[in-house]
Amino acid sequence: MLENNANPTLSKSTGLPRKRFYRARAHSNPLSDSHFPIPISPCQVDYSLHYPQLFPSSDKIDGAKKIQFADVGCGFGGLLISLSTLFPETLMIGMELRDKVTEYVKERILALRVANPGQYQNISVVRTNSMKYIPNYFEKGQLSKMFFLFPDPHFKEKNHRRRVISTHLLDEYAYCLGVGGIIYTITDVEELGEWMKACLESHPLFEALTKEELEADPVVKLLTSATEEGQKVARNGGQTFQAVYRRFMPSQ
Amino acid sequence: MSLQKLRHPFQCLTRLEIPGTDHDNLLLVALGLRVLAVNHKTGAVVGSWNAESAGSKGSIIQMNMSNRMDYVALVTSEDKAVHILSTSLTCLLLPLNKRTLPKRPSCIKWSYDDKHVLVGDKFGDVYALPLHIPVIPVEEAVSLPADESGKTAEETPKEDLKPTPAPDPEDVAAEDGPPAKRYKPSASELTVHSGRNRQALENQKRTAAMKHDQRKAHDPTLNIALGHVSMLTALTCTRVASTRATADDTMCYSREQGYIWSDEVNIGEYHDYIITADRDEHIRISRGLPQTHIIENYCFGHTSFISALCVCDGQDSGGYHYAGNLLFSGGGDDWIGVWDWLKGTLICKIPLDDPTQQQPQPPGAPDDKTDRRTAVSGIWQWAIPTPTTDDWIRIAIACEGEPRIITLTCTSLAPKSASDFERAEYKLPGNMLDMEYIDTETIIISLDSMHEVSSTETLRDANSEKSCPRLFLLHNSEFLFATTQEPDDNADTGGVPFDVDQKVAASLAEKGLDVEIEATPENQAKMKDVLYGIRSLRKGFYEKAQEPAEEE
Ligand SMILES: C[S@@+](CC[C@H](N)C(=O)[O-])C[C@H]1O[C@@H](n2cnc3c(N)ncnc32)[C@H](O)[C@@H]1O
Repeated sequence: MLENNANPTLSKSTGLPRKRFYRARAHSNPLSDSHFPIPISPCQVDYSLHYPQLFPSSDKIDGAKKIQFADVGCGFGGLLISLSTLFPETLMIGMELRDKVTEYVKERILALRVANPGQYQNISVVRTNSMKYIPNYFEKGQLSKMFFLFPDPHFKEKNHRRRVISTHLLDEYAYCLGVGGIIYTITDVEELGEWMKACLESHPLFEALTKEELEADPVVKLLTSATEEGQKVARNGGQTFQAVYRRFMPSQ
Repeated sequence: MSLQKLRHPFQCLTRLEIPGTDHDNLLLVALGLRVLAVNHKTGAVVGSWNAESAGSKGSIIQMNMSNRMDYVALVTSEDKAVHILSTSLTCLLLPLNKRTLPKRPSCIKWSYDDKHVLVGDKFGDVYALPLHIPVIPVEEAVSLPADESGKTAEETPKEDLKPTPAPDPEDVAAEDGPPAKRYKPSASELTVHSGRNRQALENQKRTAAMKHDQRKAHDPTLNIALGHVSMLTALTCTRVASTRATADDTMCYSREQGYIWSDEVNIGEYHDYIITADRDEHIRISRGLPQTHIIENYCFGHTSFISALCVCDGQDSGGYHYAGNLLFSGGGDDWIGVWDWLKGTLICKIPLDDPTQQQPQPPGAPDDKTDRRTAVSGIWQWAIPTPTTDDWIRIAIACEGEPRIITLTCTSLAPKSASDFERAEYKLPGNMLDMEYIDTETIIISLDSMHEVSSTETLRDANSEKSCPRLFLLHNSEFLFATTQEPDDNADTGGVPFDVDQKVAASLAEKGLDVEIEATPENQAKMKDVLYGIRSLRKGFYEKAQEPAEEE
């Protein structure tokens, strides 16, 4: 019987997946060829796989809700889980390159859905290389928030083109974000923080949020506290550097 | 026994027409490192320039003529240089300037207004090189110091290992992102990092000063217009007039409002666009300079790399372009995509092979280890419709290492499905390398006279080599309406198709400009690299030769 053969990757007490069974390599090269399925275009993203309770069939319904938040390099998924209850009406997705980590987040969401009926139906995760395939998932202007929390720093200068924030990738993010959409970035690596800020600051389609706007935004508080990486940095008393910018349309 | 010698094929060609002069029938052809201006009627060689004289090495691998036909841009393989030469009557093939790029250029195209040369490279960056190099203060113009990166093979991004096995010395120079600032080490002691990162931090501190100098040494005229994350494999650009009428003649395209009624737009407005494609199946539509950061759309549908793009061009009596909303694309898929690129919609897919005909496995030599799947190497719009010609859209297609030309003819300017296209195919006596149309009736094709038909490796023997012309003329009437045709039987006895080749060969020989290469294994590998690089863009092709995808 199933219950007797308890799944060893799930914790007996909480029913949540145990991280040590999903250990993965520290980094993958985001410039390598990928060997996982990629939707040919945004209309081929199967919402019924990601949000089965909200989309019982994979038939497309015109005017149906679309994903609005993307957590890029979501790691173990802590941010998605906090956002899920904060924005219960919004569909959101985590994008993660590492296979094992993605599996972990999947299991974690499934377990949360079982433990909390009716909740956590609006979050999901996909294994993908966001640097290469973001436009395959989202139509022009579809997103209202994008998160880049504690991205891999790629310290060496010759690896800077592997960074997930760059002038040219911002062109793509500006394409996916609707006007008024917000991009949230945070890191504990000072130079990377400066880099991300410089990229955003010099990009013609992004403008910084004002201090007042930052204070009023409930999401900003989650940047340092919601993710596993953020908690680790906080435990070690590390400094963080954030840059939060709005997609805008310059008058021309 | 001495090694066999083979004539070097013309790896690229382009038309040069200076109407009303005796330069109205010219072709520029690339022969190794040399570019030649030849008259395609008389065979006379009227101009020649050797890239070696500008310090270049390797071969010319790309050539693009400006829209006004007053400059030609060339790419040389080994030194990753872009040369611009004048093609005007008085300065035919005089060099204007040369720029060296950090990565090997993979595609090149003049912007619609001819003010810039757009160059895509194998890292996915697109540079906009101004026609004239702006004057820069002397202290900025330092030459690039020798590479000090101490890079190891295991750190090399895999893309590096694919098309060219040799590591790039300027790897460390690859720079994008925020403007260069005074150098600062990336990690602080508070940062959570591994032992290896700590090592990197040490290295950074040590080389800080040197790196700062390297940043300054960049050629300040190398502006990056846009960037993809994977190798740029095709690039084109176009201009759309707001007043250009669409198929039904009542709707116009406005960048701000999409398709609107024609009386609602300002007459004389136009917009430029850059269309780029990469090895990861993307076709991206960006605005032209200086707004290249605005992505308008993507054309989704390909499931393999895209190696050829062709945007339709045509003029109505008012000088406005029409049918310009049509884009043709091809690459590793066995179909050609026809798109309404402004909207990002796929109009239809046209199968490359005639579905009614069983494609025999191309013969090829048994030692040929090449991936034999079809890969499109070029798409051309042939015969631009004008008021004096008919309104037909004529497209020609070449596939890498294949001795055939495929044509598509569409009698409507607003095709709706694949059945609107008439497909024809013409067998050629050698693999097709490049082509150019001469007039509405004629195209001229450059053929690979070196390699066996359908092979990208096996060389011909002396007899079969002589039977393959390097330049091949094809007339409209000969194949347009046929579905599949064999070359004319008496072609090799002096028929029109072979005439131009013999005349050009004779004048090259007379001037001592022809190139023969010895059939050594090194030359063989080099020629394969120069003539055939497209099939290897397919993913998984180099798999076995590569390291595992993940790294610590
Ligand atoms: C340092 S972790 C941070 C994870 C999470 N955001 C957090 O704050 O805890 C960075 C994550 O980004 C993922 N990643 C790196 N490059 C990626 C890419 N191109 N596409 C998707 N995920 C990527 C890594 O696998 C890793 O899990």
